[in-house]
Amino acid sequence: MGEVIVITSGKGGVGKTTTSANLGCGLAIAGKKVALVDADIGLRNLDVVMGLENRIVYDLVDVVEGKCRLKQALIKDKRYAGLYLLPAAQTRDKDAVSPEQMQKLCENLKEEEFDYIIIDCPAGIEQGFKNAIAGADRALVVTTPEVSAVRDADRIIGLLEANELTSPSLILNRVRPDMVDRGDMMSIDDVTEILAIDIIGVVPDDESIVVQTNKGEPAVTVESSKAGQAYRNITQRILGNDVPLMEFKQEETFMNKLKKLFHKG
Amino acid sequence: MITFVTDNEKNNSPLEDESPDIGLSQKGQPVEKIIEQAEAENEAQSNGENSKDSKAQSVTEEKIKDIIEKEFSITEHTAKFHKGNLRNGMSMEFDGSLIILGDVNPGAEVKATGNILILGALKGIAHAGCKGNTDAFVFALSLIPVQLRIGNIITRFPDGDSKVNRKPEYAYVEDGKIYVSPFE
Repeated sequence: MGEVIVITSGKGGVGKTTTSANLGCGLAIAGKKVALVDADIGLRNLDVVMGLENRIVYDLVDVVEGKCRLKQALIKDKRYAGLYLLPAAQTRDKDAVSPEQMQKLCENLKEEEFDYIIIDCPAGIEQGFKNAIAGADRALVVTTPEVSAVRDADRIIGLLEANELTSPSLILNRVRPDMVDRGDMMSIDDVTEILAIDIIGVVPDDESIVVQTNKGEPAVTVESSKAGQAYRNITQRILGNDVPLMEFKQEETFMNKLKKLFHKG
Repeated sequence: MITFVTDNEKNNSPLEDESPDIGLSQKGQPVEKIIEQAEAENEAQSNGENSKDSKAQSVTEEKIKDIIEKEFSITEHTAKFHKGNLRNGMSMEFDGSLIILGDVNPGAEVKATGNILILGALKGIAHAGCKGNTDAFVFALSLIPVQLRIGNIITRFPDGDSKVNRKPEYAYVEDGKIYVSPFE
């Protein structure tokens, strides 16, 4: 039986879609059958990030309204065999779908023998959010180390708990180790102290995310990418493997090495 | 009235060394004494006006009720326990005292007609004695609220690093101002 995972955050722009795309690809690389569902009706992005925009014929709303069969709307990924995308409708809005319909859709996807169904939740706490979490078995909350994002994550965790998604996991995105060291950015401990939930991954701020997103190829596919490595680790943790949290050691520059030498002397 | 209590002001406070009870300073007067007090007050009034007995009696009853409510609002009322954190956007209101086993995060609000005890960190808003009872107090293991209200008094905590404060403290009203003292 498959597991439905919703990726949510409350605040916009913290990396829900990027995380969804990367984890979907990561799980597919690990040999799982994965369905990515874009629940952001009216502002769809996941298809662009996945580089599958030009293949969309039917969308989520068509499936829910019975205009096509589920299999017709699922787009097969161009890179990985087990990866499918169910795109959102662009010309409709969030009210086009009800939580009950989403629940039924998730059940239908489970019947298609998917191992993981990843739902990309829209920002906000309104209809779109309620739809996205309706069929979920598990929630991953994405946040960045900024007070505003952490506040919204806190609100979201409260709402998830009220909707029987009692133990969400946290992904701390866009961390800059150098700024944390200087005390200019919230550290992992600062964030977990407020949110008090398990942390499933820390993703460093990385240029390769921007490059890969614009290319339509998730960073998880790039071996050298640090953020990609972080997403690969999160994938392993979702699969139930125990992987230690990534350590961010600052790359030692020549000047730093020199300074250290002098300090020792 | 808005009072700003900073650490410095606290040190200058005349109450510094007295370490008053946790807002319980007026507790424990026997009922008879209160009734006597009310009757005496009432007599003084009705003598002047020479009004009818029945009216005077109802006024007396009201006064007694008033005084009993005031005197016993701290010591005698029910309390509600809540286990778990209160997150952003959540609120809890209770007619009585509230005891929270967990944190009150920024954006959350707790409101009680009596006292508020938080066995965790208070980082949101707490309003004790929300029906005007300034004898109420707020206690927290880490008292770093966005705003604190007791009765009709509102206070804003000094801006700055909230990490400094990690000791159990309680807030109470004295002379129309909210003071914060360490709990020892």
